[in-house]
Amino acid sequence: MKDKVILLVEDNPKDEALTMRALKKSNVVNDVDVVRDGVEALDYLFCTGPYESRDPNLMPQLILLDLKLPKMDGLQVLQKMRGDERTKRLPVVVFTSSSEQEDMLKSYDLGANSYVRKPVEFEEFSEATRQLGVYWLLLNEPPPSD
Amino acid sequence: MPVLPQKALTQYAIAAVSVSVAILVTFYTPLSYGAPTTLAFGAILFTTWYGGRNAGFTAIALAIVAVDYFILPPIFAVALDGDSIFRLSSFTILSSMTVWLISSRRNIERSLESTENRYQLLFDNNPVPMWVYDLETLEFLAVNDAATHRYGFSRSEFASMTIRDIRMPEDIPGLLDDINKSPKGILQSVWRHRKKDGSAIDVEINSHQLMFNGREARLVLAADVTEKLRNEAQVRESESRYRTLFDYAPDGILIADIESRYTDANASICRMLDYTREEVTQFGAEDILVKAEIEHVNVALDTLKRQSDHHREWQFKRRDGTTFPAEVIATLMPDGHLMAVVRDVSERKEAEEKVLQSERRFRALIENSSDAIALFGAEGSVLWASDSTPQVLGYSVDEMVKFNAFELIDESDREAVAQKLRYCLGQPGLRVEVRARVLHKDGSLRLLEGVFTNLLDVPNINAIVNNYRDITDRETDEERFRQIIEGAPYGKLLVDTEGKIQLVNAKVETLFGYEREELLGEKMEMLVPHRFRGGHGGHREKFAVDPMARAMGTGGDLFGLRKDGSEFAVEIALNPLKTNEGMMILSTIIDVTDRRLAEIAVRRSQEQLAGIIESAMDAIITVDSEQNVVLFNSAAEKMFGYTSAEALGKRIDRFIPDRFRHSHHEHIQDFGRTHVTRRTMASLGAIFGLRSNGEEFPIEASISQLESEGDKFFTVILRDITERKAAEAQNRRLNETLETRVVERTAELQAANKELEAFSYSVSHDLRAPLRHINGFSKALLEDYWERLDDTGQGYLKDVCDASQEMGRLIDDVLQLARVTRSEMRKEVVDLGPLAATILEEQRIHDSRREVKIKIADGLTAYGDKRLLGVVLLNLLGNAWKFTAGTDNAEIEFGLSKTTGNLDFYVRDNGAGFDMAYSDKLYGAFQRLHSSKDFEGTGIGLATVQRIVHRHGGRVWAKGEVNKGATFYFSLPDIIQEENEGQGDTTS
Repeated sequence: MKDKVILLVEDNPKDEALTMRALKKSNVVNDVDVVRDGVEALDYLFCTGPYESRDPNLMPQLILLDLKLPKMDGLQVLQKMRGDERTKRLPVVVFTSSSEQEDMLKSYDLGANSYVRKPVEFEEFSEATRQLGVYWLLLNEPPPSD
Repeated sequence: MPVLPQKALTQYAIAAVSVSVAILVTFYTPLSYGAPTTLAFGAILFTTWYGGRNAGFTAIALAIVAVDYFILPPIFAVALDGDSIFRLSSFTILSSMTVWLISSRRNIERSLESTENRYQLLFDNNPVPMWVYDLETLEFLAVNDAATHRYGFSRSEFASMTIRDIRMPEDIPGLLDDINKSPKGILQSVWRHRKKDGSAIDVEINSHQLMFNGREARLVLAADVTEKLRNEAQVRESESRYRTLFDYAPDGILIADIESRYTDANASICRMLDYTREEVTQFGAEDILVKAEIEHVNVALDTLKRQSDHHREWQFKRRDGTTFPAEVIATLMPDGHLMAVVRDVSERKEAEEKVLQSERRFRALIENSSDAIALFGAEGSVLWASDSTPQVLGYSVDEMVKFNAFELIDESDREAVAQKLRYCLGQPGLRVEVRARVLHKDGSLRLLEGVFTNLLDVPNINAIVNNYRDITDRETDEERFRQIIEGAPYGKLLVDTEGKIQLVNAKVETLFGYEREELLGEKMEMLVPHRFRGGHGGHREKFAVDPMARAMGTGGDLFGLRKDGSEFAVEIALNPLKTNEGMMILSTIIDVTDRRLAEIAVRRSQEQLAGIIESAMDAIITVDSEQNVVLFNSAAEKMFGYTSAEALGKRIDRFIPDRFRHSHHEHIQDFGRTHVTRRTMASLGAIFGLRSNGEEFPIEASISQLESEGDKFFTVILRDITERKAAEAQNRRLNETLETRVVERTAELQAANKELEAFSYSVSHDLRAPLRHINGFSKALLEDYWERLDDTGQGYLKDVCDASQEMGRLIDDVLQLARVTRSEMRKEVVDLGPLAATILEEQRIHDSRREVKIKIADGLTAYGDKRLLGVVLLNLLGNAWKFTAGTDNAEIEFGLSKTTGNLDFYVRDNGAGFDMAYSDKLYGAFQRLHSSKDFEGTGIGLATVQRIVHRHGGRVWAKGEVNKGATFYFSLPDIIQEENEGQGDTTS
């Protein structure tokens, strides 16, 4: 039973590896689904294309969204999500290298729940990932599903 | 031993008597058992009712003792059984309670009674008329004696009256209304009341609403203020009379307090001083008197206090500093104020001064006159002689007045003078000329010439006035004349009526080249060229008949003939001269050769001018008042394509396109009418000309007018500006291109800026990712494979991690530096104190092992972008924190020192400091003064600080010493100034 799934939207395999490693070490999560671009992320969420057979009632408990993505960038994904009934309340944490004010403002404007910058230092990175997992999967009460 | 007051004694006596009576009644009235107690109880009640509580209690005690002694077996004698104790105590308690109740009630009644009595007394005996009236019926319910006296009604009359009866008939309609409207509290007002005899009195009414014998009523106090009002009116009237007198008095009036400060001033004094009344009343004597007078003020004030008035002339000073004398009468007024009446006497003074001056002038005239004056009586006695007498006759004034005039006149002339004097006496004011020989003190005879004036009728003179002078030396005057002639700068020639030269001066000799002897006695025609000689004699004869001073030769037609036969141009002036030898003609001869030369020069310059006009680059056209061309230079020929010959005499219209002709015509005429601008140039601005081939061309013109011998000429100077116009058009085109280029460049710049932003973004995002990977995988390597690496391998990996972290910090700092440069500024009022406190608190949390003493001043308010100023503080305070790491008792201070227009904030620490020699390296990006081994850092922080402060219009500087700490200053424009200058530039 996939009850606590994180959807990681990340195109860079190295970042993916590091994030996965950190999440694994934090012991807060059993399952992480990874998609590699914005279009795939939307396919996943709306069960279209390659994800046609996915159970649309199983929505991830948290989406870690990188901003710089091929095909469709993170902000566009966020906009699409917030515009759709099925995904408008899903917790989205923007997890990115950018510390540009512009990105931060836009993310919040589009309804991001949180904005976390990936630190260069690995320990910090691991800590950030762990805290994200703890907070969003254990402490936070997800929005009631219809 | 305390003495009992009489009142207490009385009470005790009453108690004793009441109890005694009760006992006696018991004895003489045989009653059943129990009566004594009842009687005693009655006695106690009576005593209490009459004497109060103390008397009551006394009576109880006496009753117990008396009953016990006289009637019952004494208590102390019987065995105390329950029954008797019960009865006795019941009696005692019951009677005590009764006493207490009765006396309480009695006390209240008494006090009420006495209050009522007091008020009744106050009402009845009050000297102010008082009454109470029913609010409903308006009837009088009570009146006091004063009211009956004042109003003349008796008490019984009052009883049948209502308050309407004491009001004036005209007040009654409003009365009820008034009463209904009146509030319940105390009322105060002034009314007019009517007495019994019908006369009116003014009363001030104080009234108060109350209940009187169960009815709503009003107590009224009516103080008679008739006298008071009359007095007030009188005071007002006298005040206004005084005020009018004060304001309209022609003299200035000042009122001053005892310290000589003015409290009032009237219109006249204000006019004299040229101050307003408000200004004068702020002044003291020192403000309106000249400096020299001020020391006299106190003396005058002292005198005034002794004598109560003081009179003196003072010199006053007006607003503009001019002064005037004025007579001042100062009076001490009954209320202690001073009144000064000021009369400007400058006109009188001026008049006096004028008289004095004219007297002085007159005297000086007489005394310095070469003429002497003598006053004679009718018979010739000398009454007065002027000071110049000794110069003329040798006698002193004193000697002179002892003579009779005829004593001094030579015998031969005496009769003639006497005759003239008689003639003069006949007519007041007549002047008669007299000439006579008079004996000088030295014995010589002098010839005197004088005038008798009959001023016998003129008051203060009453004499014949004789002005006289010595003319004995007139012969010598002729010599003086000769000298004047001789010294003259022009040739002077004296000719008699026959044309013979009588006198010549040196100038004539040099002019004509003759010796003086060669000329004297000769005919003057020898000096005239032969061709003019014919008419000359005739001219001279005509002049002799009608001698009038005149000038000759101004027309340039007179010439002189030199001895050597050469001629020269002359101008001659002729003056008739009466001499002892008969009529003479004095000729003044001026050599005008030089002037002729000058005229030639003028002519030449005119020719030159013509040359200039001909060769001028600009077309020059002159037209007469009919607008016909009279001058057309060669530039004009070229410009218009007409020859000068064709143009002359033509109307100027020919050279102007049709559509401008009318306005041009008007313009010229307007200009012609403006006599003021004669000969000045007037610009016509850009207009158009018309060439002979019909081509139009733009010209620039200026015009001037000149009036010459009654005719008006206009000269126009024209410049063909076809080429200039073309150049201007070219210029305009270039400017337009320039503008497009500016737009293009701006767009390029904007694009460049965009690129820069994209670059920053990619630095921020893309450069950090690989770093993160290097760091992350190195760490992973260390964690997962550490046992396969030896110490050196692990060390290398740690170095890789450190290097990547360092790189990450560098990128962050560079990004921030770039961001502060281009981000938009939102200025607001920022309190830097709390901002600094938060930053330092974060440092402390981050680095909790350290003890740092922190001092943050109050009121560190700045005007700027809160986020950017936060970056400044983060860097400066972060540095301070960092560089005090190795210092014991580390201290960081954040404060403010204000200078003009600027706020100088500073962050001071006592840490590692720096060498001032390298202070110029502080602000360069990546420049560091400390090694990374000692202190970590990227060297970008201060560069960022400097950029932010510069963007705020401030500056950054620092002071430091190695190991003794550093102080970093940053100045920001003062808040107030910034706000005054408006929000100004919020972006850059």
